[in-house]
Amino acid sequence: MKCLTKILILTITLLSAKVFAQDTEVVNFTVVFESVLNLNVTGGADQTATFNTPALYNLGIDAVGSTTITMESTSNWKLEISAPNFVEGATAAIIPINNLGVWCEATGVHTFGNEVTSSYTTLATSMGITIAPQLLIDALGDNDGSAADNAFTLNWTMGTMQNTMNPLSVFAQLANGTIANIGTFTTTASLTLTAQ
Amino acid sequence: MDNFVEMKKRSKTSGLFYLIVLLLVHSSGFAQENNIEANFRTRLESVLILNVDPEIRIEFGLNEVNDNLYQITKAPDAINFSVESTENWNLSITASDPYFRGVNDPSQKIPVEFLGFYIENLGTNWDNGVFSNISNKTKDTVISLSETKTVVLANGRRNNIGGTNKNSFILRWKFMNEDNDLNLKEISKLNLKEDRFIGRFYLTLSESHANGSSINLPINTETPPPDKIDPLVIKYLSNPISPRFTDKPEEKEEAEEIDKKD
Repeated sequence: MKCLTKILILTITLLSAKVFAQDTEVVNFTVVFESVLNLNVTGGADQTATFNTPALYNLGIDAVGSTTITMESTSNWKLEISAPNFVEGATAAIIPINNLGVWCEATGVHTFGNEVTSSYTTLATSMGITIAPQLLIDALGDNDGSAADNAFTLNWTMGTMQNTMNPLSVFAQLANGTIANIGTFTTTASLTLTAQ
Repeated sequence: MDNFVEMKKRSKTSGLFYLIVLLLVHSSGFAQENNIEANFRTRLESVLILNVDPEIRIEFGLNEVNDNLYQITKAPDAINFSVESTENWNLSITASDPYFRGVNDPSQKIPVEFLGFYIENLGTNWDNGVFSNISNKTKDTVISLSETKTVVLANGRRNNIGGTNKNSFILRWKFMNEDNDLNLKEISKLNLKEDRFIGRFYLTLSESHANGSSINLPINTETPPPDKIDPLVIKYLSNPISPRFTDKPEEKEEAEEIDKKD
């Protein structure tokens, strides 16, 4: 009995010693992937078109300039564009906004026909800008990615009567009174990037 | 036991709260948008252009085939011109010299009023008077060339803005003696000999409003001669038998006269 008692005490002692020798801590990691949707203009935010010869009034300006943009998105996205009519500050004269056209080039990893799609990828297929938003670039496959993936050049054209642009020359619109007078006209186009 | 029930209630409430937060985050992800703007400026600058050969001149040949019968050996060439303008415009014609002068004998002079002109419209802007695009002063008549600036084309109620397709014309010349209904200018007393005669004129294109610019052709003006004979004096001195003009050869003219006598 005495021996049994000794063994019990020894066991309890060993067990308690073992308990004191163990220490376990838990570190919890939480990774949060929040949604990112950035549209950046990297160049050409201000554009000027000058009509000063009969040829330009008759045929328009093929290359007004270009705007370079990038998108950073954690989800698929689409890009829409709209603008109000050009207005002259001094008078109520306007230039219908569909005289302004745009077509786009993909300069990043994502290319048209693969990750992205657009109906307006050449001068001849330029989109005539309208007051209501129109889809310019859409996802074809997965188009989420970084700025290196989603880089584009928007090429602006004016008065060239291409595709869905105004079918009359600027000269003809001056003659028929749609454009009431010559002068300096301005507008601001909105590019809207939307997560899908 | 009460604590257990309370804890269960709390965990249910907090779970519901987290669910709502999750739903809100999820739904805001679908509506996420990002906008940027691009600024556009369009300058429509004034254009006022007269397209015409800068070397234009009036040149014609005359030959006296008989007493008071002159043959036109060379008719003056018609002149094509067009206007490109972003504003309403008007066009005037002015002789730069009161006389046409002989090439071989510069002392031979014919008053510019001897020659008339009219303008045919080839463009799509109508020239049917003041209620159309263009008021054409020569629409149904021939006007004598003159040293006085004469506005011959001007905008009507509808504007005449446009390019060459809208504003294209041909200027045609006509000897005033060819038509008896016209104001005849007698030249029989000028004793003209066979020669080619040359003269120049201005086409002046102007914007219709007061501050418009204007273009003159030719650029180089010629010094007018010191003497000037009033066309009315010429008429007064004219031979009772008015001179006639013909572009037919002399032999043919004579043959026709014989036929008439027969």
